[in-house]
Amino acid sequence: MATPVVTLTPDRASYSPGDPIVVAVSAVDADNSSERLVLSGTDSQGNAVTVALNIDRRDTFTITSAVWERTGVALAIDQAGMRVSGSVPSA
Amino acid sequence: VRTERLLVTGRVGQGAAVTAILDVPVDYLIVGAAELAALPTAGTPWSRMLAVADSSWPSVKLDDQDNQVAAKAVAAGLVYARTGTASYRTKVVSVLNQVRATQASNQSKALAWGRQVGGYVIAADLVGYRDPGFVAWVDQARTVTLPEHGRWKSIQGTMRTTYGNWGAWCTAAHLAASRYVGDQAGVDTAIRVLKGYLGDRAAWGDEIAATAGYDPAWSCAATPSAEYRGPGINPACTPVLDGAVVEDVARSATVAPLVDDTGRMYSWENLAGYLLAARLAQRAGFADVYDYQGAAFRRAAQFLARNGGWPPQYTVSYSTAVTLTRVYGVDFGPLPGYNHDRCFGYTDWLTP
Repeated sequence: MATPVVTLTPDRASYSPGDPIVVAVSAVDADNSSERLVLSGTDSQGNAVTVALNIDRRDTFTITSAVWERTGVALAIDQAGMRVSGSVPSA
Repeated sequence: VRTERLLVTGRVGQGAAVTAILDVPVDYLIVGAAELAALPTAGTPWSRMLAVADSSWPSVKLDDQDNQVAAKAVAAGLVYARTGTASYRTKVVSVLNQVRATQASNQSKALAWGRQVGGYVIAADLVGYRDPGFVAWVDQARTVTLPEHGRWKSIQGTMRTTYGNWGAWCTAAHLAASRYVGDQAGVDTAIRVLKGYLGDRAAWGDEIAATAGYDPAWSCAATPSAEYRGPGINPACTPVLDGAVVEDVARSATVAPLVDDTGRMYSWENLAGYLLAARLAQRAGFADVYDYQGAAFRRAAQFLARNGGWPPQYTVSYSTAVTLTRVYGVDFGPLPGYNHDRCFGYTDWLTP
């Protein structure tokens, strides 16, 4: 089984100590990260037409903890919104 | 680049636990972390700052309005932040502990505190010093009673009630301290005061009272002292008064609009404090501070330039002049030297 890829995306490029921060969480399981969708039909001249596309499939990710490493202060977890939020520790 | 590391742990589908790491860049109170990391460690501005950081510093004395150890601590803080050399952090922390330890015998004058506290807070931030005792000290420094002056008896009270040079330094100190302790309401108040000083009467002014030296002849408002509520820098009401730092140019012994050395010197003092507040405020979200109210700071520089105030007569004002030239891209003539101000400086290195 391939290692899943978890991506953390902060809401700003940089912060000051004490600033609020919201981090979006997304996860992709590399084993089944996309699905191929194939659509078939007939055009107005009666020719068969097939269209295919790949759709990334984001796996479910259950967040169990979110914590600043140095201070141990936890961030709030929004499981439904797939994000964590809190304050940037004072350095 | 200074960062804080965030660890997020969870499970993908039914798989094993996985931990993701995010290193969040954390800026300093006065400069962005990435910005600072890109500044040079060679050249004249760096060497001058390094020399200050390496020098032997006098004793800390919070009640001495001419004590400049705070500015020297900022130099060491910047060197540490840029290089990570631990000895500079140690030197700064030693000074910060002295500040706390000597408060009881140095608790009388708001001007002296206003000129120093901001620098010590900035230095603490630069070296990442967050000792709970020091944080608590910074918190109370804004409101501790400093009884010497008849009217201005605390950093916070002085900030709120005057646009003179005492208020300038106290605004910078209050803003730095509020930011450091995470008091957003305190930050917001200081920024409103700064906006009022620059000319936004709706932002601040009700608590402002004229100093004893106030002269309505210097003010675009032309109000008697009992009605003066600002602004601190004149709007462009006339070509002569435009940009005058009302309270401190009025220290001139000459009759308006003639400015003398005293008026020029105090105007520079005033600008030094409020420009430090502006630097802090910009990083706290007041993004257009330098353009605010028709670029009030630039108009103040222009006023001084056309009234014999450029270059400043004292080295303690040079870093303020450098800020004005770098921020606005103006050149009013060469500066004869360089030094830090009361509690900050190194603007030639910080703003290349």
